[in-house]
Amino acid sequence: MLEIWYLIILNPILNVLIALTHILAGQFGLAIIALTVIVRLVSWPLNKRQLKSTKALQDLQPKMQELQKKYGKDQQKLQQEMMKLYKEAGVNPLGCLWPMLVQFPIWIALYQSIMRALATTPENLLSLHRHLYSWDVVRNAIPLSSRFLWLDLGSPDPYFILAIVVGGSMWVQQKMTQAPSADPKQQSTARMMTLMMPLMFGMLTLMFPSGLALYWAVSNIIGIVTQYFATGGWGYLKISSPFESAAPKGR
Amino acid sequence: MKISLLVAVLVLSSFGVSCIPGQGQPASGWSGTAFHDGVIYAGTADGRVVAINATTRDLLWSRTSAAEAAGGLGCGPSVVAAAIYTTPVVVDGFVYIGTYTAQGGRMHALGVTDGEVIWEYPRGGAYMGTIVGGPVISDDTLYVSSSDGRVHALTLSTFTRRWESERLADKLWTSPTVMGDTLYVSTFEGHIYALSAETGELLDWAFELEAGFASAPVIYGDTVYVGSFDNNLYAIEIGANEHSWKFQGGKWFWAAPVVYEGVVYAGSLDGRLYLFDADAGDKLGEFDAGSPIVSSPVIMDDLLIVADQSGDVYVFDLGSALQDRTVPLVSVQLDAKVESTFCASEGLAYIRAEDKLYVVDVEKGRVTWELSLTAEE
Repeated sequence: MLEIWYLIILNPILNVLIALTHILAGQFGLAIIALTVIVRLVSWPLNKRQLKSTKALQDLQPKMQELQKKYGKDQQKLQQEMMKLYKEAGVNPLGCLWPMLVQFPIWIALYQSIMRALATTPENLLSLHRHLYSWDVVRNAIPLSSRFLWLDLGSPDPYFILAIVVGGSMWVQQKMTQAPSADPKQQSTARMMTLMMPLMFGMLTLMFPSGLALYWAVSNIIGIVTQYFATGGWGYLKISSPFESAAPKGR
Repeated sequence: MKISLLVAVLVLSSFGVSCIPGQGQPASGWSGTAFHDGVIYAGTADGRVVAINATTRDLLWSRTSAAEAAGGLGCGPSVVAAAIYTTPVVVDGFVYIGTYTAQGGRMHALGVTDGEVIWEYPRGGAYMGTIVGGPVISDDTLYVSSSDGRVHALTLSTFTRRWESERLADKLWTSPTVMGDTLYVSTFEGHIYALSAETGELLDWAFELEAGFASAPVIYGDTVYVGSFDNNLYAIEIGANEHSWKFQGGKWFWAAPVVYEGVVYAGSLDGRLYLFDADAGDKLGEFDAGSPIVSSPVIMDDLLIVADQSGDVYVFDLGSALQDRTVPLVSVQLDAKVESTFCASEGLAYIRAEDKLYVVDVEKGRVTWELSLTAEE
């Protein structure tokens, strides 16, 4: 099983990352950014579907609010009517989850690739040879330098800058898609989660190699830009800030 | 909402899964063995230096010279345990060892009889860069390269720093080589530098390659033999800007080659031992060990001893005809991985393989005795 993982996912990502480093003047940080762009391009069909699904959910908001007003006291009936509405509109409420799930193996492989490529311990450097292709660009790039801007890509950012960028960009991206709810309880939980996820990733950024955090930051920023152009604006970001209560409006 | 919670759980669990051994592999060291006056000295996987009587097999002393084990969040490189990569060097009543901890590295001089720490460098609880490449001693000076990218020279009679070179690389993980009054250093950035052994100043000649150098330089005559990350073994005449010859193996030449009577013996991570004419670079033969050769071959009394990573030890007769030098005289299987430098003396090879010390009779091709190096509770 581990061999299949290496063969299909880890080794290709690792070698592409090292080859990109050689092409980009030995800058491993630039290689991570380039790989992020490639991953986003490859996963564009999925992201497009996610954006479409998000947009469809946004368009259903007025009808959803009507249902909440009508069946607010009967949760079971409300759920039934909502599912009926989703079905009629041809929308899968979990549709926006799949692209994120698809990205998990890439995140894990990227984390492992960064750790292996940087070979921060002698053991890691020695074991690296087992995963390398016999490409000249790969052979000539080894071993890699972990320095990029102020970062040691194999260690967490000591200045918290990446944590702020990752958390901030994730908050913006979530806020763009988070439709306000008519139910104050739901709205309050939604607001909390919109803060919790960026906070959690901000914390992870403080714990994991900054190379991985760089991937998250660039990925979020690309996500914001594509979302902006795909949905034609800032979405729900303009409607409310986390510190003021959202008026339930459609777009 | 449930989706967000699910995503949060998945993110955390996915990185939990990714923290399996081998990703942020902790440093455990691959210190090898030294034999001196009937005593075997070795570094162990748990950061100790041990002295073992080769006749009685008794543990004479055990010293933890790298006690600092760092913690850290996550499973990144901050999780680096104290480790010893350098093979002990025994000279004039002292055992010299370099250490590797999360805080940095130190050189330690231990008393040969009891393992007491006589002095450390740097002093006063300070650290230099971590030490991976073994120290070399010439006359009264110890030279050691460090992860701070510099070579440090220490005067042994006064236990003081003699000089510190300028920063030669991002990090130096290979041993320097001393030849006369010159020190040669290979770097991961693809340079071979020549330094004055007296002052540490860079001399005029330096060699540059696109790929990095994986092994320490070995000098024979006026030629440097060194392995590279581009899978080549290079022969470079000192003072020249171009290599004299090179040979491409299947993988890195990680271990430093040995040169004996005009023949270069080089083990590769592709699992083969290659033989070359030292001058012309002609390939004279090869032996397929079947497993990566991580440690340098050792020569003892016309015998060549080669150990591969899977624990097979091969002995070749260098006194025989050239074509027979690729056929092992005897071989023996150890039940542990060999990644450490080893030594041989008076018909016996002393090999540290993982947590064990093996004493191999190289003529009979059998393990004479073995000893666990794991600390007793």
